[in-house]
Amino acid sequence: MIFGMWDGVLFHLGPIPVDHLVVTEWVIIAILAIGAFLGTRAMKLVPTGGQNVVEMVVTFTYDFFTQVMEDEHTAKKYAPLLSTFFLFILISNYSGLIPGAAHIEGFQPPTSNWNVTAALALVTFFAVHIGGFSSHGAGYLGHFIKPNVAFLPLNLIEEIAHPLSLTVRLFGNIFGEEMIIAYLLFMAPFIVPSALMGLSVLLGAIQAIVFTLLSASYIGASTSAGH
Amino acid sequence: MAPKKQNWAKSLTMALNLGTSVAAVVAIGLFGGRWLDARFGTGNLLTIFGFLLGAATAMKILWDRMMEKEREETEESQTFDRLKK
Repeated sequence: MIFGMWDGVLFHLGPIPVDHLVVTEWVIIAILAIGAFLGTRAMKLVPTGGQNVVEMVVTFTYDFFTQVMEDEHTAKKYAPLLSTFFLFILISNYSGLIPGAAHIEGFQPPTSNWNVTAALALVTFFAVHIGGFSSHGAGYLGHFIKPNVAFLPLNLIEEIAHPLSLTVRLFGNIFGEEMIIAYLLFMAPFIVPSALMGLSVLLGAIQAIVFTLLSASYIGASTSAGH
Repeated sequence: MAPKKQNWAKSLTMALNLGTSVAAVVAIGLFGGRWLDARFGTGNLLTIFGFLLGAATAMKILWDRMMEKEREETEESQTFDRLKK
């Protein structure tokens, strides 16, 4: 247990240990899958009711990512991945708002563990480079030696910095917020932590937006014509 | 002067990207150098070298973004001038 965070294995799937964070992530995935199923079943050519809302959100998402990536085709191609990032991180962050979450086994937000944020950042890292290779072919490797070969180490450090900054920022913000709430709950259990938890609603959304925006920006940069 | 087309999402992303990238590259250089010093017993040599490499990368990132912004503004004003004619 580190700083009040639970670190216990709940059960094993063959040789693979499954801890409570993985179970929380499964629940979040199930919530997203059920939400997507309910939002897209029985779709009509002329939308009514909930379909209107879903279509409005999807259109807004496409427009937003088109603005960030400055290419409609790329935005539409990567919008499902980026939107899933946003929703998964948002629900993960909010799962820590259950009172006393950091102290109850099974209720720790997954994004307060760096293994989870590193895994999300690695997905972005691979999406960036796969996107780069699919757009530019082998010529994509040329950007590592721009403007000349002496810049190779600098460009490599820059590439490594992207997943590192995504990992540390999300983990640090959510972990820090959880710790402050946990200590405040310990010192003044009733009124004081609620103000910070209110702030956490905003912080959780901001962190989800920041991760998604930066991922979109990295993918947009690697796939752009000028790269 | 050409009217500025505001792309707030792009500007916000650039600001976020710049701040975190600059901090991350310096940290990678510094801690990477420190790790190598501990591994090869080279005193503080690689820590200093790593820090300088990180700082140089940070400057390159700032320079690239500045040039990118300048290029965008030049393209915008050229388009505006063409339309005016």
